[in-house]
Amino acid sequence: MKIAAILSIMTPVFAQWSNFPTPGVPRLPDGKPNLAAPAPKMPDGHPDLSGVWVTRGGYTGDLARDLKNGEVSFQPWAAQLYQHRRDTMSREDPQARCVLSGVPRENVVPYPFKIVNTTNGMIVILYEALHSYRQIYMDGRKPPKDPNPTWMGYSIGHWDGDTLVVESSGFVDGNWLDNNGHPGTESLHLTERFHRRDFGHIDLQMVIDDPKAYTKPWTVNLLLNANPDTDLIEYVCDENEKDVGHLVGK
Amino acid sequence: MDELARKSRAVTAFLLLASVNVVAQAPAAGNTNSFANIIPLPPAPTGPAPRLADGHVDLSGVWRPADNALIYDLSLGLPKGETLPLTPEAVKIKAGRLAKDDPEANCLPTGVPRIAPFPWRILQTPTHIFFLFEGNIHSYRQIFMDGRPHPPDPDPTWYGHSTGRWDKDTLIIDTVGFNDRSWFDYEGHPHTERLHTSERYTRSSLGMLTEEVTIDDPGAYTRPFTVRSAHRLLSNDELIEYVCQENEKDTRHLRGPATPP
Repeated sequence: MKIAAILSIMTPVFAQWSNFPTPGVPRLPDGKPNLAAPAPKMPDGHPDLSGVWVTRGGYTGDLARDLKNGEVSFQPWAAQLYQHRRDTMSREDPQARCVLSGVPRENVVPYPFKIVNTTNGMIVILYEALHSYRQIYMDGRKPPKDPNPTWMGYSIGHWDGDTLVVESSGFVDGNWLDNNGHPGTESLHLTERFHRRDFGHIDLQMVIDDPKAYTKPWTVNLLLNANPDTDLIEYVCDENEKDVGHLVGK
Repeated sequence: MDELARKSRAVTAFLLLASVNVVAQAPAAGNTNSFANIIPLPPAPTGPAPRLADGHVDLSGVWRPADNALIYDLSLGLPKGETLPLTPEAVKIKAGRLAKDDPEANCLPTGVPRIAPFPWRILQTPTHIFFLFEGNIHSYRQIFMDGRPHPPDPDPTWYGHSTGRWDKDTLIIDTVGFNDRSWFDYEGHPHTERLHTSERYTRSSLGMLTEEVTIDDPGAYTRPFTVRSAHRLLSNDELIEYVCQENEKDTRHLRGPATPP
């Protein structure tokens, strides 16, 4: 049901307004984007991560799909909650109620997102999913001592060579890290490392360190594909929403 | 953001939603803060508007609507003595609208130009301008500054398709491709898919941003008209996360015809 819904919403991406050629895209002689060209740079010499990106699929359901048994080591209560969410087929998923999915989940949904690399102290990620956004402060500030818990968390970034490192904390309790319902809590500390290896690809490593839910940190490695010559479309979850009533879990 | 600012914003939002008296005090137009008698805004910083390396005015920053008149009644943004030129059909649509059906109350986007009362951020890059909204939903608008045209037949959306250009120090945003679902205000002033907006933003000083929006919708109004409002810089402040859908208890309590709360 959910997969069918996702596919039906995805289709318009290819039929939509955005076949406008993205300015600044390196091209092959036939006019197609040269995805193997070097990563572009910002005026300050750091890589420019700007562009429309989408995860190579498969992690929407299970963020830990590539991990070996035991790499995700639940605390007992979290194991129980995860099993409950599986048994009830994710019926209680807040995202199905159009509440923000937060990170890391928004990074692995099958919808594209746009990274906006500005020169004035901030990187912003615009997500097509739920038409939401996230701000990453690049101005050297420290994380707040006692932030209001949020779905997106409070994100601070810095450069480690050519890699953007984003540290996020201040998340809500009761979070879902994926459709299966891997739990996230207020103790979640997420470290994301974005490395644009060439024009068309970002290697994204996400370290999930949430001692309240897991006995040790676990790491997910993803590949993001550039989507040049297209753009985000408007996804309004609450508009004519008919999905929740059809979730079949017990 | 410090705790005091956070609390004061929450209290302001609450009072704004709860107090009918505030509405009665909303000024016809201009820079007066309509709830200044409840929670004074910090003074807007003074000084010249900053500029980017390319010479254009830098509109970046967190802004707060200086008054909330437009969201109560769009006509409060008109010059004195003018009224909204609704078609007879639009008068009928407006008269039939109920408060509980306001898309804003149902956690849907509010379209253009219904921003207040929440703060918003302008981000500026060489190819785009972005508006990030704190509320009513955690959402954004993209304005393409790369010279592209509007698509010939865009899918109708809440925020439309926006292209921008500079007229000296004024940013002009041209938007088409709206759906007909958003309401301009609590009064339920309608529009159709023929809506075409032209927004003009001028940062008259470091701390002030004026907004003029020309609304051209021959489907609902007999002629174009222009509403004015203003925004003040919220320096040393940040957008916070407003999730309308989370634990939402408001809509079921709305009664009666569309009207300011």
